[in-house]
Amino acid sequence: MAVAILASVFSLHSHYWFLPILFGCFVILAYNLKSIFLLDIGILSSILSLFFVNHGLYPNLLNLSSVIGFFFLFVGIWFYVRNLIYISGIEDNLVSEIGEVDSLVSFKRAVSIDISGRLFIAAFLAIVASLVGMYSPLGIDVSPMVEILLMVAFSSGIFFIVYFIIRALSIESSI
Amino acid sequence: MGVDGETKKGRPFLYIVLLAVAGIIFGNLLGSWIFFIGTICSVAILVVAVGSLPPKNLHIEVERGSRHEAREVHVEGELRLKIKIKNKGDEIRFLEVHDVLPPRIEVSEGTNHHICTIKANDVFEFDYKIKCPVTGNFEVGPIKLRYRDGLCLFSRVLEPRKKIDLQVLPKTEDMEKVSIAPSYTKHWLGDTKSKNIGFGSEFFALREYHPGDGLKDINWKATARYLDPKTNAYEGEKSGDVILVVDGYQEGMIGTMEHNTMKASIDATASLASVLLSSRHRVGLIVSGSYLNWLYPSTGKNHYHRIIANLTKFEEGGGWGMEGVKWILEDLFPRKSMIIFISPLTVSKFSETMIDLCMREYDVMVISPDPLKIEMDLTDNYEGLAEKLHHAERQHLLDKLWTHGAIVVDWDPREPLEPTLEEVLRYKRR
Repeated sequence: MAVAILASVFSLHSHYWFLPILFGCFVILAYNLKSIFLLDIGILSSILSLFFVNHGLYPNLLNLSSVIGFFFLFVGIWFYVRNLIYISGIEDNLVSEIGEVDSLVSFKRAVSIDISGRLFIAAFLAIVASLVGMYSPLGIDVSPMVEILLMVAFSSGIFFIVYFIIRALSIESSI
Repeated sequence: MGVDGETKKGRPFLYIVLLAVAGIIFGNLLGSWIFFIGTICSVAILVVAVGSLPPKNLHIEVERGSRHEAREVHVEGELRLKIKIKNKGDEIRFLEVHDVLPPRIEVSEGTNHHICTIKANDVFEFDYKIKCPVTGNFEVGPIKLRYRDGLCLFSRVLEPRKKIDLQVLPKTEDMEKVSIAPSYTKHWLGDTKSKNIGFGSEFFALREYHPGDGLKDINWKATARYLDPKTNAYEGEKSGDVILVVDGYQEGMIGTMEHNTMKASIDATASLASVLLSSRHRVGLIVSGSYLNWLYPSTGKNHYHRIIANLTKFEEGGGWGMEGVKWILEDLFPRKSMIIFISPLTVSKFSETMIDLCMREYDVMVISPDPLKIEMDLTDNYEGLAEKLHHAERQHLLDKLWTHGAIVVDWDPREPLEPTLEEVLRYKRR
């Protein structure tokens, strides 16, 4: 919720600044109801609303860092709360005087370290890629035709990268 | 080890891909760089996700405690189950272990579901206790193993393994003070005093010495007085046959799954079998439920386990009429056996059969758990008039059975059986 509030504060320039808070409430509700589906919907809506609300921002380093930061904060909370909800299902059936089990306590610690580590690396890659895209010689000062062609090339490139990653992971999984 | 499943992609993986695609679409539609940033971030997550895939060398061995551990537990007793997971492959960051339990079995301590990290050539062990409120044969397991990564993007289910059979036995009551003896004894040794002279421990009379009598049986004082060898004669201690007949008619069953007349009957039968077999009587069993099952009278510990096994797998029903029970008693089982009926007396067929057998001069005892006492425990809302009517009806039936010569034990199943049974037997001996 804190992240959603921060995101809304960041988006105060827009008429729809309240959308991240609104969808952030879904996440709170999902955690209380132990509903993973509601959590997924809440987080995805929060991320998309963040982008929609800020789609008119000027592309500079500060805004770039803020958007990437909020994105990975939302994603980090998403993964962590998903694991917490899953574990709470296990802990509901636990019968213990101390109310917890060592393996589950260790798991919570390990998973938060794992998520943080991986998302830091992903954020770093995303920032580097974005900076390369923003400050490369073929930046914003091109003709409209070239811009369209670059957009098409970039979009196609992303589609192919995503396709090859899924393909590679499918081959890996069938081994 | 068996064949393991494929790596599956979770829903978060699909959502990340959708975010990437949505970013491109909306970025082009709205001409906004922010959506492309979203796409780049999603792709970065997918690239990093490659490191979350399950290890290639996944070799896990599962063991359940020791082979010699008992797989039997009494109702409301606890059994500890131990599980050992050995990792003979690469390190597994997050392995989910779930020992599946059937619905009626509850965890009384610990948990049957863990998520652990196991390093290469390391072992993860855990244990937990279970208990079951009803008798029966159950299958515990299999143990399900699943690799899952911290980002919830991938999972791989490994082959489930290691089921065990668990037998939940009825609760037996220690009834040392109770001495149930059939009226007719057989010729083999036991603890019941017969009406004949034979092998025993209680002195009966003196008699003339016969060649072959043991030296220890000669009464030297009497011999010196009468100047003629005299031998002690003892009261013969023999044993007899006792048949336990359990009423398993579902239409007569009162109570819930965990607390009902059937459970009380089974517990009473198990306790009686234990007492009778320890007195060296031969015990037979007839169970009339979903099917008619019987055990010919025998003795010994193995026979006790056979009786308990029959009671454990017994299911209430009512497809068989009482003619089957009568046929077994009259044609298959030994004559002049003592018959002990364990029945709540809610089904008229059972009561009529008891009266019929009493009239044929069988030695009959009826142990009846009162169904109204069970119902009173389960509900606060009952009518006083209905209770009085039921009580009057039941008392009339019990008096009728007494009149026909049966020994009747009206038992409150909330209390131990021993005091009630002991009181009735003491009254009968007067």
